[in-house]
Amino acid sequence: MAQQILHLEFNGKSARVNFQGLPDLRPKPTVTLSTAAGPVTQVRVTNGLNPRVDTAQLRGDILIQGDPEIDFATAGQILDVDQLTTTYYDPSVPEPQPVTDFRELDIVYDAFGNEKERRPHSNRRPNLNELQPVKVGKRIPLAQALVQFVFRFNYQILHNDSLTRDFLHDIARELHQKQEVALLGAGAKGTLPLVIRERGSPYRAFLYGEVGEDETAKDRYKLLMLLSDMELKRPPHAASGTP
Amino acid sequence: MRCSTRDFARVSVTSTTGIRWLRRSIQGMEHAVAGCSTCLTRCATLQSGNIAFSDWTCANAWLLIGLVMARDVNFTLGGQTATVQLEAKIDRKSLYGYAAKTIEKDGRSLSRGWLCPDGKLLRRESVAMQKIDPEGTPFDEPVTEANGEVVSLQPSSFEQAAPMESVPLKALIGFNVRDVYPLTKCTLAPGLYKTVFSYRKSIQPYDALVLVRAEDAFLLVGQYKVSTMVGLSVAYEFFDSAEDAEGEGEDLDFSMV
Repeated sequence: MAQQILHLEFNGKSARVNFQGLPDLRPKPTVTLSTAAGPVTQVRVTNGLNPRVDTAQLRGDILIQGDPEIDFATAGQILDVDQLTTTYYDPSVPEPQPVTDFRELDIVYDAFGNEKERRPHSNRRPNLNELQPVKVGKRIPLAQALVQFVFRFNYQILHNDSLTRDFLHDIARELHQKQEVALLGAGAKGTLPLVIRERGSPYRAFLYGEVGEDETAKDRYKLLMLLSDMELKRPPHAASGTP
Repeated sequence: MRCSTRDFARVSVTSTTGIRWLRRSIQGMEHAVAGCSTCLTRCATLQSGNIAFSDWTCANAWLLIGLVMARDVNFTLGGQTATVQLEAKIDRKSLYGYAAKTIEKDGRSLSRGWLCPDGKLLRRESVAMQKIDPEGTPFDEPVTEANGEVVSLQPSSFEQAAPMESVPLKALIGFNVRDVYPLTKCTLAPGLYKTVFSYRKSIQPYDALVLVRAEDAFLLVGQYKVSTMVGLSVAYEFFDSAEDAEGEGEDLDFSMV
Protein backbone atom coordinates (compact mmCIF):
# COMPACT_ATOMS: atom_id res chain seq x y z
CA MET A 1 0.00 0.00 0.00
CA ALA A 2 1.59 3.25 -1.17
CA GLN A 3 0.97 5.50 1.79
CA GLN A 4 2.78 8.75 2.02
CA ILE A 5 3.39 11.02 4.93
CA LEU A 6 2.14 14.57 5.28
CA HIS A 7 3.57 16.86 7.94
CA LEU A 8 0.60 19.11 8.60
CA GLU A 9 0.17 22.19 10.78
CA PHE A 10 -3.18 23.52 11.92
CA ASN A 11 -3.92 26.06 14.64
CA GLY A 12 -0.34 26.02 15.93
CA LYS A 13 -0.18 22.22 16.26
CA SER A 14 1.57 19.93 13.83
CA ALA A 15 1.41 16.20 13.21
CA ARG A 16 2.65 13.66 10.73
CA VAL A 17 -0.31 11.89 9.14
CA ASN A 18 -0.81 9.51 6.22
CA PHE A 19 -2.31 10.27 2.87
CA GLN A 20 -3.42 7.80 0.29
CA GLY A 21 -4.58 7.60 -3.34
CA LEU A 22 -8.18 6.59 -3.93
CA PRO A 23 -9.58 3.63 -5.86
CA ASP A 24 -11.49 4.17 -9.12
CA LEU A 25 -15.28 4.11 -9.04
CA ARG A 26 -15.23 2.28 -12.41
CA PRO A 27 -11.92 0.40 -12.61
CA LYS A 28 -10.30 0.49 -16.03
CA PRO A 29 -10.47 -2.87 -17.82
CA THR A 30 -7.25 -4.74 -18.46
CA VAL A 31 -6.93 -4.47 -22.23
CA THR A 32 -4.88 -6.87 -24.32
CA LEU A 33 -4.42 -7.04 -28.08
CA SER A 34 -3.80 -10.33 -29.80
CA THR A 35 -3.59 -11.92 -33.25
CA ALA A 36 -3.88 -15.52 -34.36
CA ALA A 37 -0.17 -15.85 -33.53
CA GLY A 38 -0.56 -14.68 -29.93
CA PRO A 39 -0.56 -11.55 -27.79
CA VAL A 40 0.70 -8.30 -29.22
CA THR A 41 3.66 -6.46 -27.71
CA GLN A 42 4.99 -2.98 -28.28
CA VAL A 43 8.65 -2.63 -29.18
CA ARG A 44 11.07 0.07 -30.23
CA VAL A 45 12.29 -0.35 -33.80
CA THR A 46 14.48 1.59 -36.14
CA ASN A 47 12.29 3.19 -38.78
CA GLY A 48 14.94 3.53 -41.44
CA LEU A 49 14.62 7.30 -41.75
CA ASN A 50 17.59 8.56 -43.70
CA PRO A 51 19.14 11.27 -41.51
CA ARG A 52 21.11 12.76 -44.40
CA VAL A 53 17.99 13.82 -46.30
CA ASP A 54 16.03 16.94 -45.44
CA THR A 55 12.46 15.70 -45.92
CA ALA A 56 11.16 19.28 -46.16
CA GLN A 57 13.09 19.69 -49.40
CA LEU A 58 11.73 16.55 -51.06
CA ARG A 59 9.45 17.20 -54.03
CA GLY A 60 6.76 14.89 -55.37
CA ASP A 61 8.73 13.85 -58.45
CA ILE A 62 11.74 12.84 -56.32
CA LEU A 63 9.50 10.66 -54.14
CA ILE A 64 7.91 9.05 -57.19
CA GLN A 65 11.28 8.17 -58.70
CA GLY A 66 12.81 6.66 -55.57
CA ASP A 67 12.86 6.44 -51.81
CA PRO A 68 15.68 8.77 -50.78
CA GLU A 69 14.10 9.39 -47.37
CA ILE A 70 14.40 5.72 -46.38
CA ASP A 71 17.56 3.80 -45.59
CA PHE A 72 16.33 0.21 -45.96
CA ALA A 73 19.50 -1.25 -44.45
CA THR A 74 18.74 0.31 -41.07
CA ALA A 75 14.97 -0.20 -40.99
CA GLY A 76 13.06 -2.71 -38.88
CA GLN A 77 15.70 -3.55 -36.29
CA ILE A 78 14.06 -4.32 -32.92
CA LEU A 79 15.92 -2.49 -30.16
CA ASP A 80 16.48 -3.83 -26.67
CA VAL A 81 15.69 -0.85 -24.45
CA ASP A 82 17.90 -2.16 -21.63
CA GLN A 83 20.93 -1.98 -23.90
CA LEU A 84 20.35 1.59 -25.06
CA THR A 85 21.91 4.55 -23.30
CA THR A 86 20.44 8.00 -23.54
CA THR A 87 22.86 10.43 -25.08
CA TYR A 88 22.86 13.95 -26.51
CA TYR A 89 24.28 15.03 -29.86
CA ASP A 90 24.60 18.11 -32.01
CA PRO A 91 22.00 17.69 -34.80
CA SER A 92 23.79 20.15 -37.09
CA VAL A 93 26.81 17.84 -37.44
CA PRO A 94 26.63 15.42 -40.43
CA GLU A 95 27.99 12.46 -38.40
CA PRO A 96 26.77 13.15 -34.86
CA GLN A 97 28.71 11.93 -31.87
CA PRO A 98 27.74 11.88 -28.17
CA VAL A 99 28.46 15.24 -26.53
CA THR A 100 29.69 15.55 -22.96
CA ASP A 101 29.92 18.48 -20.53
CA PHE A 102 26.60 19.91 -21.59
CA ARG A 103 24.32 22.21 -19.61
CA GLU A 104 20.70 21.49 -18.68
CA LEU A 105 18.51 24.57 -18.98
CA ASP A 106 14.84 25.34 -18.49
CA ILE A 107 13.45 27.77 -21.06
CA VAL A 108 10.33 29.42 -19.68
CA TYR A 109 7.63 30.43 -22.18
CA ASP A 110 4.57 32.54 -21.47
CA ALA A 111 1.02 31.62 -22.47
CA PHE A 112 1.58 33.08 -25.95
CA GLY A 113 4.69 30.98 -26.55
CA ASN A 114 7.15 33.85 -26.10
CA GLU A 115 10.37 33.07 -24.29
CA LYS A 116 10.48 34.73 -20.86
CA GLU A 117 13.67 33.49 -19.26
CA ARG A 118 16.36 30.84 -19.21
CA ARG A 119 17.45 29.26 -15.97
CA PRO A 120 19.48 26.23 -14.87
CA HIS A 121 17.32 23.11 -14.79
CA SER A 122 16.27 22.00 -11.35
CA ASN A 123 14.60 18.78 -10.28
CA ARG A 124 11.72 19.28 -7.89
CA ARG A 125 11.69 17.30 -4.67
CA PRO A 126 8.66 16.21 -2.63
CA ASN A 127 7.96 18.75 0.11
CA LEU A 128 5.14 17.22 2.13
CA ASN A 129 7.24 15.63 4.86
CA GLU A 130 9.88 18.26 5.53
CA LEU A 131 11.02 19.88 8.75
CA GLN A 132 8.69 22.79 7.99
CA PRO A 133 5.14 21.44 8.06
CA VAL A 134 2.60 22.08 5.33
CA LYS A 135 0.39 24.84 6.67
CA VAL A 136 -3.38 25.09 6.59
CA GLY A 137 -3.94 28.61 5.35
CA LYS A 138 -6.52 30.81 3.73
CA ARG A 139 -10.12 29.60 3.50
CA ILE A 140 -12.28 29.74 0.39
CA PRO A 141 -16.00 28.98 0.27
CA LEU A 142 -16.44 25.39 -0.94
CA ALA A 143 -18.94 26.30 -3.67
CA GLN A 144 -16.55 28.93 -5.05
CA ALA A 145 -13.49 26.68 -5.02
CA LEU A 146 -15.29 23.83 -6.79
CA VAL A 147 -16.17 25.94 -9.82
CA GLN A 148 -12.98 28.02 -9.85
CA PHE A 149 -10.22 25.40 -9.97
CA VAL A 150 -9.50 22.22 -11.91
CA PHE A 151 -8.77 19.40 -9.47
CA ARG A 152 -6.38 16.89 -10.99
CA PHE A 153 -5.94 14.52 -8.07
CA ASN A 154 -7.74 13.62 -4.85
CA TYR A 155 -5.97 12.08 -1.88
CA GLN A 156 -7.50 11.04 1.43
CA ILE A 157 -5.71 12.05 4.62
CA LEU A 158 -5.78 9.41 7.36
CA HIS A 159 -4.80 9.25 11.02
CA ASN A 160 -2.32 6.79 12.43
CA ASP A 161 -3.20 7.02 16.13
CA SER A 162 -5.84 8.53 18.38
CA LEU A 163 -4.01 11.85 18.72
CA THR A 164 -3.76 12.37 14.98
CA ARG A 165 -7.34 11.15 14.63
CA ASP A 166 -8.55 13.97 16.92
CA PHE A 167 -6.29 16.43 15.08
CA LEU A 168 -7.73 15.53 11.66
CA HIS A 169 -11.30 15.26 12.95
CA ASP A 170 -11.08 18.83 14.27
CA ILE A 171 -9.92 20.12 10.87
CA ALA A 172 -12.64 18.21 9.03
CA ARG A 173 -15.33 19.40 11.45
CA GLU A 174 -14.34 23.04 11.10
CA LEU A 175 -14.27 22.91 7.31
CA HIS A 176 -17.55 20.99 7.24
CA GLN A 177 -19.34 23.43 9.52
CA LYS A 178 -18.15 26.49 7.60
CA GLN A 179 -18.55 24.82 4.18
CA GLU A 180 -15.07 25.97 3.20
CA VAL A 181 -11.90 24.51 1.79
CA ALA A 182 -8.52 25.48 3.19
CA LEU A 183 -5.43 26.20 1.14
CA LEU A 184 -2.37 24.14 1.93
CA GLY A 185 1.08 25.60 1.42
CA ALA A 186 4.62 24.35 1.92
CA GLY A 187 7.72 26.23 3.02
CA ALA A 188 8.40 28.53 5.95
CA LYS A 189 5.56 30.88 5.05
CA GLY A 190 3.19 28.18 3.85
CA THR A 191 2.90 29.74 0.41
CA LEU A 192 4.76 27.28 -1.83
CA PRO A 193 2.97 24.75 -4.03
CA LEU A 194 3.08 21.09 -3.04
CA VAL A 195 5.20 18.52 -4.85
CA ILE A 196 4.04 14.97 -4.22
CA ARG A 197 6.78 12.94 -5.85
CA GLU A 198 10.38 13.16 -6.99
CA ARG A 199 10.65 15.37 -10.13
CA GLY A 200 6.89 15.80 -9.90
CA SER A 201 4.78 18.75 -10.93
CA PRO A 202 3.88 21.47 -8.42
CA TYR A 203 0.25 21.73 -7.34
CA ARG A 204 -1.89 24.10 -5.35
CA ALA A 205 -3.59 22.00 -2.68
CA PHE A 206 -6.92 22.41 -0.94
CA LEU A 207 -8.24 20.60 2.11
CA TYR A 208 -11.85 19.42 2.01
CA GLY A 209 -13.44 18.19 5.24
CA GLU A 210 -16.62 16.31 6.05
CA VAL A 211 -17.90 14.76 9.30
CA GLY A 212 -20.78 12.39 9.98
CA GLU A 213 -23.93 14.33 10.72
CA ASP A 214 -26.14 11.84 12.60
CA GLU A 215 -25.51 10.56 16.11
CA THR A 216 -24.15 7.17 15.05
CA ALA A 217 -21.65 8.62 12.58
CA LYS A 218 -20.49 11.75 14.35
CA ASP A 219 -17.07 10.23 15.10
CA ARG A 220 -16.46 9.56 11.43
CA TYR A 221 -14.71 12.03 9.21
CA LYS A 222 -13.35 12.47 5.71
CA LEU A 223 -10.45 14.77 4.93
CA LEU A 224 -9.41 15.03 1.29
CA MET A 225 -6.47 16.83 -0.25
CA LEU A 226 -7.48 18.21 -3.66
CA LEU A 227 -4.62 19.07 -6.00
CA SER A 228 -5.01 21.69 -8.69
CA ASP A 229 -2.62 23.04 -11.31
CA MET A 230 -4.93 25.48 -13.09
CA GLU A 231 -7.94 27.68 -12.78
CA LEU A 232 -11.06 26.89 -14.75
CA LYS A 233 -10.98 29.63 -17.36
CA ARG A 234 -10.28 30.24 -21.02
CA PRO A 235 -6.77 31.07 -22.23
CA PRO A 236 -6.06 34.81 -22.52
CA HIS A 237 -5.80 34.73 -26.33
CA ALA A 238 -9.12 32.86 -26.68
CA ALA A 239 -11.13 34.73 -24.05
CA SER A 240 -12.13 37.58 -26.33
CA GLY A 241 -14.51 36.90 -29.15
CA THR A 242 -15.69 33.61 -27.74
CA PRO A 243 -19.42 33.09 -28.17
CA MET B 1 4.27 29.06 -52.53
CA ARG B 2 1.64 26.76 -53.95
CA CYS B 3 1.22 23.12 -53.10
CA SER B 4 -0.63 20.26 -54.77
CA THR B 5 -4.39 20.39 -55.18
CA ARG B 6 -4.96 17.30 -53.07
CA ASP B 7 -7.13 17.96 -50.00
CA PHE B 8 -5.21 16.96 -46.92
CA ALA B 9 -7.67 17.92 -44.22
CA ARG B 10 -11.18 19.20 -43.89
CA VAL B 11 -12.12 21.23 -40.87
CA SER B 12 -15.66 22.19 -40.03
CA VAL B 13 -16.24 25.85 -39.26
CA THR B 14 -19.77 26.54 -38.14
CA SER B 15 -19.40 29.33 -35.61
CA THR B 16 -19.47 32.88 -36.93
CA THR B 17 -16.98 33.84 -34.24
CA GLY B 18 -14.72 31.08 -35.47
CA ILE B 19 -14.85 32.54 -38.95
CA ARG B 20 -14.16 36.00 -37.56
CA TRP B 21 -11.14 34.62 -35.70
CA LEU B 22 -9.98 32.93 -38.82
CA ARG B 23 -10.18 36.05 -40.96
CA ARG B 24 -8.58 38.23 -38.29
CA SER B 25 -5.72 35.80 -37.89
CA ILE B 26 -4.95 35.22 -41.54
CA GLN B 27 -2.71 38.25 -42.02
CA GLY B 28 -0.71 37.36 -38.91
CA MET B 29 -0.54 33.73 -39.87
CA GLU B 30 0.55 34.18 -43.45
CA HIS B 31 4.23 34.35 -42.68
CA ALA B 32 4.29 32.27 -39.53
CA VAL B 33 2.52 29.29 -41.06
CA ALA B 34 4.21 29.45 -44.44
CA GLY B 35 0.82 28.57 -45.79
CA CYS B 36 0.16 28.06 -49.46
CA SER B 37 -1.79 30.70 -51.33
CA THR B 38 -4.64 28.28 -52.04
CA CYS B 39 -5.30 27.59 -48.36
CA LEU B 40 -5.04 31.22 -47.39
CA THR B 41 -7.45 32.28 -50.11
CA ARG B 42 -9.92 29.62 -49.05
CA CYS B 43 -9.72 30.77 -45.42
CA ALA B 44 -10.12 34.41 -46.39
CA THR B 45 -13.22 33.84 -48.48
CA LEU B 46 -14.83 31.37 -46.10
CA GLN B 47 -18.42 32.10 -45.08
CA SER B 48 -19.26 28.85 -43.29
CA GLY B 49 -18.92 25.13 -43.78
CA ASN B 50 -15.74 23.23 -44.50
CA ILE B 51 -12.28 24.38 -45.41
CA ALA B 52 -10.39 21.91 -47.53
CA PHE B 53 -6.75 22.56 -46.77
CA SER B 54 -4.41 21.63 -49.55
CA ASP B 55 -1.27 21.72 -47.47
CA TRP B 56 -0.39 19.81 -44.33
CA THR B 57 1.41 22.79 -42.81
CA CYS B 58 -1.67 24.98 -43.06
CA ALA B 59 -4.06 22.32 -41.80
CA ASN B 60 -1.89 21.35 -38.85
CA ALA B 61 -1.25 24.95 -37.92
CA TRP B 62 -4.95 25.72 -37.78
CA LEU B 63 -5.68 22.54 -35.89
CA LEU B 64 -2.94 23.22 -33.36
CA ILE B 65 -4.09 26.74 -32.77
CA GLY B 66 -7.58 25.39 -32.25
CA LEU B 67 -9.29 28.25 -34.02
CA VAL B 68 -11.56 25.99 -35.98
CA MET B 69 -11.84 23.05 -33.67
CA ALA B 70 -15.44 23.39 -32.50
CA ARG B 71 -17.29 20.09 -32.90
CA ASP B 72 -20.85 19.21 -31.97
CA VAL B 73 -21.45 16.83 -29.07
CA ASN B 74 -24.91 15.55 -28.17
CA PHE B 75 -26.18 14.62 -24.72
CA THR B 76 -29.58 13.29 -23.70
CA LEU B 77 -31.08 14.90 -20.62
CA GLY B 78 -34.58 14.01 -19.47
CA GLY B 79 -35.48 12.53 -22.84
CA GLN B 80 -34.35 15.64 -24.72
CA THR B 81 -31.18 16.00 -26.76
CA ALA B 82 -28.87 18.86 -25.87
CA THR B 83 -26.21 19.86 -28.40
CA VAL B 84 -23.12 21.78 -27.40
CA GLN B 85 -19.99 22.74 -29.28
CA LEU B 86 -16.73 21.41 -28.01
CA GLU B 87 -13.72 23.66 -28.49
CA ALA B 88 -10.01 22.90 -28.31
CA LYS B 89 -8.73 21.44 -25.06
CA ILE B 90 -7.39 23.84 -22.45
CA ASP B 91 -4.27 22.98 -20.50
CA ARG B 92 -2.06 24.88 -18.11
CA LYS B 93 0.41 25.68 -20.89
CA SER B 94 -2.18 27.82 -22.64
CA LEU B 95 -3.05 29.64 -19.40
CA TYR B 96 0.29 30.15 -17.69
CA GLY B 97 3.01 29.07 -20.12
CA TYR B 98 5.49 26.32 -19.45
CA ALA B 99 9.12 25.46 -18.89
CA ALA B 100 10.83 23.26 -21.45
CA LYS B 101 14.01 21.46 -20.53
CA THR B 102 16.77 21.90 -23.08
CA ILE B 103 20.33 20.65 -23.34
CA GLU B 104 23.00 23.05 -24.59
CA LYS B 105 26.70 23.17 -25.20
CA ASP B 106 28.50 26.35 -26.24
CA GLY B 107 25.15 27.95 -27.05
CA ARG B 108 24.12 25.15 -29.42
CA SER B 109 21.00 23.18 -28.64
CA LEU B 110 21.56 19.41 -28.49
CA SER B 111 19.15 16.65 -29.47
CA ARG B 112 18.46 13.49 -27.57
CA GLY B 113 19.31 10.12 -29.00
CA TRP B 114 20.35 6.62 -28.01
CA LEU B 115 23.76 5.01 -27.95
CA CYS B 116 23.72 1.34 -29.00
CA PRO B 117 26.05 -1.31 -27.51
CA ASP B 118 28.08 -1.30 -30.75
CA GLY B 119 28.76 2.44 -30.39
CA LYS B 120 26.28 3.51 -33.06
CA LEU B 121 24.29 6.62 -32.28
CA LEU B 122 20.59 6.56 -33.09
CA ARG B 123 18.80 9.87 -33.60
CA ARG B 124 15.50 10.24 -31.83
CA GLU B 125 13.57 10.48 -35.09
CA SER B 126 15.14 7.22 -36.28
CA VAL B 127 13.33 5.19 -33.63
CA ALA B 128 9.62 4.40 -33.64
CA MET B 129 7.25 2.38 -31.49
CA GLN B 130 5.69 -0.59 -33.25
CA LYS B 131 3.18 -3.19 -32.15
CA ILE B 132 4.15 -6.68 -33.27
CA ASP B 133 2.86 -10.21 -32.80
CA PRO B 134 4.98 -12.98 -31.16
CA GLU B 135 6.54 -13.77 -34.54
CA GLY B 136 7.81 -10.20 -34.80
CA THR B 137 5.40 -9.23 -37.57
CA PRO B 138 3.35 -6.03 -37.71
CA PHE B 139 -0.37 -6.84 -38.02
CA ASP B 140 -3.49 -5.25 -39.43
CA GLU B 141 -6.47 -5.95 -37.21
CA PRO B 142 -5.80 -7.36 -33.74
CA VAL B 143 -8.45 -8.83 -31.48
CA THR B 144 -9.11 -6.56 -28.50
CA GLU B 145 -9.83 -8.22 -25.18
CA ALA B 146 -10.90 -6.48 -21.98
CA ASN B 147 -10.58 -8.50 -18.79
CA GLY B 148 -10.18 -11.63 -20.91
CA GLU B 149 -13.29 -11.12 -23.06
CA VAL B 150 -13.34 -10.06 -26.69
CA VAL B 151 -14.77 -6.55 -27.01
CA SER B 152 -15.39 -4.11 -29.80
CA LEU B 153 -14.71 -0.40 -29.61
CA GLN B 154 -17.61 1.89 -28.70
CA PRO B 155 -18.34 4.93 -30.87
CA SER B 156 -16.84 8.26 -29.86
CA SER B 157 -18.94 10.97 -28.22
CA PHE B 158 -19.20 12.74 -31.59
CA GLU B 159 -20.97 9.75 -33.07
CA GLN B 160 -23.58 9.00 -30.42
CA ALA B 161 -25.38 10.97 -27.72
CA ALA B 162 -24.32 10.21 -24.15
CA PRO B 163 -26.89 10.16 -21.31
CA MET B 164 -26.59 13.04 -18.90
CA GLU B 165 -28.05 13.73 -15.45
CA SER B 166 -27.98 16.70 -13.13
CA VAL B 167 -25.84 16.20 -10.02
CA PRO B 168 -25.00 18.43 -7.03
CA LEU B 169 -21.88 20.59 -7.19
CA LYS B 170 -20.22 18.35 -4.60
CA ALA B 171 -19.89 15.68 -7.28
CA LEU B 172 -16.73 17.55 -8.28
CA ILE B 173 -15.12 16.32 -5.06
CA GLY B 174 -13.39 13.02 -5.73
CA PHE B 175 -13.32 13.58 -9.48
CA ASN B 176 -9.83 13.55 -10.99
CA VAL B 177 -9.92 15.86 -13.99
CA ARG B 178 -7.78 14.77 -16.91
CA ASP B 179 -8.94 17.06 -19.74
CA VAL B 180 -10.82 20.37 -19.85
CA TYR B 181 -12.78 21.50 -22.91
CA PRO B 182 -14.62 24.81 -23.14
CA LEU B 183 -18.16 24.51 -24.48
CA THR B 184 -20.03 27.00 -26.60
CA LYS B 185 -23.65 27.21 -27.72
CA CYS B 186 -24.56 25.55 -24.44
CA THR B 187 -28.26 25.89 -23.65
CA LEU B 188 -28.16 23.90 -20.40
CA ALA B 189 -29.17 25.64 -17.19
CA PRO B 190 -26.28 26.56 -14.84
CA GLY B 191 -25.27 23.61 -12.72
CA LEU B 192 -23.34 20.37 -12.88
CA TYR B 193 -24.20 17.41 -15.09
CA LYS B 194 -22.75 13.93 -15.01
CA THR B 195 -22.10 12.04 -18.25
CA VAL B 196 -19.41 10.07 -20.07
CA PHE B 197 -17.10 11.19 -22.85
CA SER B 198 -14.73 9.65 -25.31
CA TYR B 199 -12.93 11.76 -27.92
CA ARG B 200 -12.13 8.68 -29.98
CA LYS B 201 -13.58 5.19 -30.25
CA SER B 202 -12.77 3.40 -27.02
CA ILE B 203 -13.46 0.35 -24.95
CA GLN B 204 -14.69 2.35 -21.98
CA PRO B 205 -15.44 6.07 -22.14
CA TYR B 206 -14.13 8.37 -19.45
CA ASP B 207 -16.34 9.76 -16.71
CA ALA B 208 -17.23 13.36 -17.46
CA LEU B 209 -18.93 16.36 -15.88
CA VAL B 210 -20.41 19.34 -17.66
CA LEU B 211 -20.08 22.43 -15.51
CA VAL B 212 -22.31 25.27 -16.65
CA ARG B 213 -21.55 28.63 -15.02
CA ALA B 214 -23.45 31.84 -15.57
CA GLU B 215 -21.01 33.10 -18.20
CA ASP B 216 -19.41 29.96 -19.65
CA ALA B 217 -19.46 26.17 -19.68
CA PHE B 218 -16.79 23.46 -19.56
CA LEU B 219 -16.60 19.73 -20.12
CA LEU B 220 -14.39 18.07 -17.51
CA VAL B 221 -13.22 14.62 -18.52
CA GLY B 222 -11.60 12.31 -16.01
CA GLN B 223 -12.27 9.62 -13.51
CA TYR B 224 -14.37 9.31 -10.37
CA LYS B 225 -12.55 8.16 -7.27
CA VAL B 226 -14.15 6.58 -4.23
CA SER B 227 -13.43 8.00 -0.79
CA THR B 228 -14.80 6.81 2.53
CA MET B 229 -15.67 8.20 5.95
CA VAL B 230 -13.17 6.90 8.49
CA GLY B 231 -13.88 6.12 12.12
CA LEU B 232 -11.52 5.35 14.96
CA SER B 233 -9.73 2.72 12.93
CA VAL B 234 -8.82 2.96 9.28
CA ALA B 235 -9.70 0.14 6.86
CA TYR B 236 -6.57 0.44 4.73
CA GLU B 237 -7.73 -2.36 2.44
CA PHE B 238 -10.22 0.10 1.02
CA PHE B 239 -7.52 2.17 -0.58
CA ASP B 240 -5.88 1.49 -3.84
CA SER B 241 -2.13 1.78 -3.98
CA ALA B 242 -1.96 2.06 -7.75
CA GLU B 243 -2.52 5.79 -7.94
CA ASP B 244 -1.20 6.84 -11.30
CA ALA B 245 -0.63 10.41 -10.24
CA GLU B 246 2.22 12.73 -10.75
CA GLY B 247 1.72 12.22 -8.68
CA GLU B 248 -0.26 33.01 -2.01
CA GLY B 249 -1.76 35.78 -0.84
CA GLU B 250 -4.93 37.31 -2.23
CA ASP B 251 -4.32 35.99 -5.75
CA LEU B 252 -3.33 32.39 -6.14
CA ASP B 253 -0.27 32.08 -8.33
CA PHE B 254 -0.70 29.14 -10.69
CA SER B 255 2.24 30.03 -12.92
CA MET B 256 4.41 27.40 -11.28
CA VAL B 257 6.58 26.76 -14.31
